[in-house]
Amino acid sequence: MENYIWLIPVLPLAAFVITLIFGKWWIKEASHWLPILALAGSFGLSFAAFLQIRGAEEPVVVELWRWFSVGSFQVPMTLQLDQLSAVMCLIVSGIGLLIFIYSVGYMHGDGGYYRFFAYMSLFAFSMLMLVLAGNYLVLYFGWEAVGLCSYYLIGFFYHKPEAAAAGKKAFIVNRVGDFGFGLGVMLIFVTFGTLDYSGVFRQVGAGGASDGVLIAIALLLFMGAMGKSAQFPLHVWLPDAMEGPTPVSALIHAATMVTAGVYLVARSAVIFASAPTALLVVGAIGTFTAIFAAVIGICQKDIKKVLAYSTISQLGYMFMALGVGAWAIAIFHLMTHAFFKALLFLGAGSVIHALGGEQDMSRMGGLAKRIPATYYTLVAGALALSGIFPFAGFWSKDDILGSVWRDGQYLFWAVGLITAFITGFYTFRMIFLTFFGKPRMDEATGKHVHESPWSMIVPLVVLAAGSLLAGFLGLPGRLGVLQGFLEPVFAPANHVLGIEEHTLTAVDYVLMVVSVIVAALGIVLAWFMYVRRTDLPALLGHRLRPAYKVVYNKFYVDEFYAATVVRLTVDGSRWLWRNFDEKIIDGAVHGTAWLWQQAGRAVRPLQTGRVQNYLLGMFAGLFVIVTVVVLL
Amino acid sequence: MQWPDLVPVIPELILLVAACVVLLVEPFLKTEDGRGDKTAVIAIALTGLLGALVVSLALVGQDRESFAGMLVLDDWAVFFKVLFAIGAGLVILMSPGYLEAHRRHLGEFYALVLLAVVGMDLMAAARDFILLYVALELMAISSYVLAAFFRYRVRSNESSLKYFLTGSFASAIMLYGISLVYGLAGATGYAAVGQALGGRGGSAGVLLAVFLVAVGLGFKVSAAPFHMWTPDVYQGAPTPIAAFFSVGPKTAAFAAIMAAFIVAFPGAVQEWGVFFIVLSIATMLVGNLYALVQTNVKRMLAYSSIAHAGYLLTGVGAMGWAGNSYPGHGVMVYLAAYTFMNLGAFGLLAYLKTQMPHSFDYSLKQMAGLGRRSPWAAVLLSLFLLSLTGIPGTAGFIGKFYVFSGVVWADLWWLAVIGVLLSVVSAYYYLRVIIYMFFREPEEEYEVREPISGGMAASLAVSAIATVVIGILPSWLWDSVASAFNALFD
Repeated sequence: MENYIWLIPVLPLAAFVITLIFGKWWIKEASHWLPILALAGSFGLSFAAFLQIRGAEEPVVVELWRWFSVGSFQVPMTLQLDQLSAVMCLIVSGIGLLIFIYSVGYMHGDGGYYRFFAYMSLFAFSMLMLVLAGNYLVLYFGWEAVGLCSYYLIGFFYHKPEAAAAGKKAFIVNRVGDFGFGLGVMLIFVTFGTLDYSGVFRQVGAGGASDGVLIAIALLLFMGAMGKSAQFPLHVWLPDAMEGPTPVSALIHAATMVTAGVYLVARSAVIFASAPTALLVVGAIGTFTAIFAAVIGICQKDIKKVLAYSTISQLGYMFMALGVGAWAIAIFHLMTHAFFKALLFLGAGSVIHALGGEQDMSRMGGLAKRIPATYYTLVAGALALSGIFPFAGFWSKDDILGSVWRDGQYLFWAVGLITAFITGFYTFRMIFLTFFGKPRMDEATGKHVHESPWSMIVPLVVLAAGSLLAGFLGLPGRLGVLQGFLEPVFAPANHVLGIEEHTLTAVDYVLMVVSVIVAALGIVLAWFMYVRRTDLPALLGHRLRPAYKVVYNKFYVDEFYAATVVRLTVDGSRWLWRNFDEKIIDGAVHGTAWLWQQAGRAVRPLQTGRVQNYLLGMFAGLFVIVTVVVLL
Repeated sequence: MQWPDLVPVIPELILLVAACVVLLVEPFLKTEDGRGDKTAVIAIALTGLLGALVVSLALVGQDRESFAGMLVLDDWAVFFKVLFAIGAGLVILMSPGYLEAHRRHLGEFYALVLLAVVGMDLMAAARDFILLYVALELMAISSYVLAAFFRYRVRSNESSLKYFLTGSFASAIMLYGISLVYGLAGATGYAAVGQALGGRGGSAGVLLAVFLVAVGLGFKVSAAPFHMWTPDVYQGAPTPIAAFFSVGPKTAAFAAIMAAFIVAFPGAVQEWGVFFIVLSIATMLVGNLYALVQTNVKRMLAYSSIAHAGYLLTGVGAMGWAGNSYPGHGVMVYLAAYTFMNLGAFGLLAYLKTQMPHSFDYSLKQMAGLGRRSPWAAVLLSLFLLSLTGIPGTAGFIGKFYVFSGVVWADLWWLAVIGVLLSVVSAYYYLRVIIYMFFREPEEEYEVREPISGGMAASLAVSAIATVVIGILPSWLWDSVASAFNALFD
C-alpha cells in the first residue's frame, strides 16, 4: 500500500499546476473540473487507505526521498499513514470535495475563477501533506504552505483593501505562533537528534528528555497551534479572515486548516502527556477561548463573523478535550465540527448569495419561506452546533464535557456548560435574525432573493445529513467506533497518563441530559428575544450599554494590540529603519557595493585584450603561486 | 597481436562514427538555394549522442581497464560520459536556429562538437598522463575550430586565435610537467606514478612537476590567473559554442584533476591542495569582481563561469588539504548542476540573438522589458540566474551546499565563508539582469519575436527541469556521485 499514499496529496498538486498555468487562457470557465476530479481521486485513495489501516498496530511510513543527507543531518521526505492521518485525510478530502462542488455555483462568473480553484487545490495539497507528514519537518512544510494558501485566499478579492489587510493580518499573527512552532521543531531536533514521529515518540516514552525540556517543547508546539487554531490571545486574525470568499471560510477557516493546531497537539500526544504542566495550559487556554469567543459571538451583526467566533469557541472545546487527555474525543469533535461548521458557512454563503452579497443580519429576516432548502439545512447545522440530541454536535460536545468531568476538572466543565448555553443562544439568534420576522432588506434586494443553484444545494444537503449522522460514529464509552479506531495511535499517550477505557455510568447520562437542557435553554432565550419580544435586544443593549460596548468591540483585543504590540513594533521598526537600516546596514551595503565596484574598475585595465599580456599573466601567476606554496 | 578490450570505448566509437558520417553525408545535402537542409545531419549527431548515452548507461557498474591500463570503464567514467552526452545534446539542440540566423549552418559544426565530446570522455576515463594529454588536445583543437566558426567575423577569429595561442601555451606547460613526472617516476600511469613518487612527495622537483600539470588543467577550468582568455573567447565565439565551452571542457578538466591528483601525487596532497586553494580564492575574487562591472550579459556570464570555477576549486583544494576524496563528491554534484543551469542561461541568450540577429548585442539595456515581451523567456532566464546565484530549491543551491559542506568537512571553514560571501556578491550581477527584465522600461521597441520553439524549446525545457529537479530531489545525484567515487577510490 506504500505505493499510492503519495498520490493523495500529489493529485491536487497536479491540478493546481495545470490550472494555474493553463487556467487563464485555455481552461477558463471549465477550471473547476480538474481540481474536483483530483480531489475526488484523493478522497477515493484516502478511503482505500482508511480501509487498509483499520486495525493495524503500526503506522505505515513511506520515505519518498531524502532531500539532504550530510552526516547526521538527514532531511527525509517521509509520509506516515496511521489511523489519525487516515481520518484527517478523509475529512480534508471529503469536506473539501463538497466545498469545491459548492464553489462551482458560488464563484461562478468571478474574474479569478481559475485562480480560485488553483489556490484551493494548492491548499488541499498542503493540508494533505500536513496530515500525512511522517516527521516534524514535513509537517512544518505543510503547516507553512496552508498558511500561505490561507493568505492568498483571504486576500482573493485583493482589490478590496479590507481583504488585503485581513490577509496580511492573518499572515503576521500566524508568524507569531509559527515562530514558536519553528523553535519547538528545532528543540526537538536538538534534544532527540531526529524529527521522525516514531523516533521522537519512542525516545519520549523511554524518558529521553528532562521534564523541563519536554514542557518547553510542548509549549512551543502549542504556540504554533494557538496561532493556527486561533486560540486566545492569537485569535484576532480569524474573524478578519472572513473577508475571503465564503467557500474559503468554510474549508480553510472552519473545517480544516484551523483544526491543524488540534491535529498537531493530538499528533504529539505523547509529548504533551509527558508534560502535564503544558497539558494544563492547553486545557486552560482552550476553555477560556471557548467562553470568550462565544460571548463575543452574541453581539456580532455580520453572519460570517458570528460563525467565525463560533469556530474559535468550538476549537476551544477541542483544546479543552486535549487538555484532559481526551485525544480521540477532540478528533471526534474536530470531525463533527467539520461537518456542521462547513454546513453553516456554506448555508450562510447561500444566504449571502441570495441577498446579493449582504452579510449584515440586521438587514435580513423572513427568509425561511423564500429559500427553504437553505433554511432547513442551516437549521440542521445550527442544531448540531448547539448540541441538541441526536445531532452530531451533541455527541462530540457531550463526550468532551463528560471526559472533562471524569478528569476532575470541574471548573473547565462548568465553563464548558455555560459556553454550551451561550452557543445555543448565539446560534439561534443568527437563525432567527436571518429567517424569521419581517424582511429588513431594501426592496431591490428583496425582489431578487432566489434559491441557490443545485451545485450549492447538494453539498448543503450532504453536509446536513453528515451533521445529523456523524455523531453516531463516536457514541460514548465502549460504543465509540471512532475512538476504537484511533486507539492504536493514542495508546502510548494514554498509557503515560494512565487513562483507562471507561464504562458509562449514571453520571454520564445525567451530564448528557443537563447539557442538552442547558443548550435548549439558550435556544429558548434566543427565541424569546428575537422572535417573541423583538424589542428586548435593543432595550437590553441600551440598559447594559457599557457591557454591550465591550463585547461588541470584542473586548478591545484588537485595539489593545494596536496600542501596544503593533504600535511598539511600528515605532521601533521606524526608529531602526531610520537609524540602523539606513545608516548602518544600507551604509554597509552601499559601501560594500561601492568598494567592489571600485575594485572591479581598478582591476579592469588588467584585462587588456592582448594575448601577450595574458601569457605574461599566466607565467607571473604561476611564478607567484609556486613561490608562495614552496616557501610556506 | 592481441586486441585491446574495446568495450570501455564503445560510446566514444559511436560518437566517432557519427562524426564521420556527419562529414560524409553533409556534402550531399543540397537544396535549391544551395544552402542545404541540415535536418539529417542534426539527426545523425543527436542519434550518435543518444547512442553514446544509452550505451554508457548500460555500462553502469562495470569495472574494466583497457589499452594496458591507460583508460578504464567504471562508474566514474560513465558519470562523465553521460553528463557530456547530455550537455552536448543540449548544445546541438539549441544551435540550428542560431547558425541559420547567422547564415553559417554547416555540418562540420556538429562533427566538431562530437569530436570534442570524444576528447572530454577520454579525459575523464584516462588513467595515464599521455592519454590525458592526447584527449585534452583532441578536445582543445576541436574547440579552437568551433570558436572560429563564424570565420568572416573579426570577433570570432580573435576569439579562436586567442584561445589557440593561450591554449597551446598552457598545453606546453602541462606537457613539460608531464615530462618531469616521467623523468622522476619513470612512468606515466597515475597509479604507477603514485607508487614511484609516494615516498618522496614534497621535494622541489616533484612539486614543480605537479604544479606545471596543475597549470595546464587550471587553464582549461579558467582558474585565475590563467583565466584571461575566457571572456574574450566566450564573447567572440558563437553563443551555443560559448555555452559548450563554459561547461564541457571545464567539467572534463575537473574530472581529470580529481582522478589524477589524488592517485598520482599522494605524497604532495597538502601542497597541491594549497595550490588549488590559492587558485580558488583568486578565481572567485577575479570572477566575481569582473562580473560586477560588466554591462554585457554574455561577458558577465563568462566571468560568472570563472567565479563558478572558483567555487569548484575550493572543493578540489579541500580534497588535497584533507588528503581525502570526500570533498570531491560536492564538486561532482556541482558540475552536474552547473552544466544544466549554465547551458540554460547561455541558451536563453542564444535564443534572443536568434530572434534579433542584427540588433541584439547582449547588453543589459536590451534585456529591459523582456518580462512583458517574452514572459516565458524571462521566467526561464530568471530561473537559471537564480540557480546560478544559489537560491534554495534550485540545482545551484544544492551544488554550492555540497561543495561548501565538503570544504567545511575538511576543516577549511574559512574558505567556505569566503566562497559564501563571494556568492552573495554574485547575487548583485545575476539579480540585476532579472531587475532589468521585469522592472525596467525598454528604451527602444523590439522586433517582433517568435516564441521559443523546436530544439531550442527542448533544450531549455530539459535544462529548466533538471535545474528544478536537482534542486528538489538531489539524492539520486548524490548516490550516483558516491558510486562514481567508490569506483575510483574503492
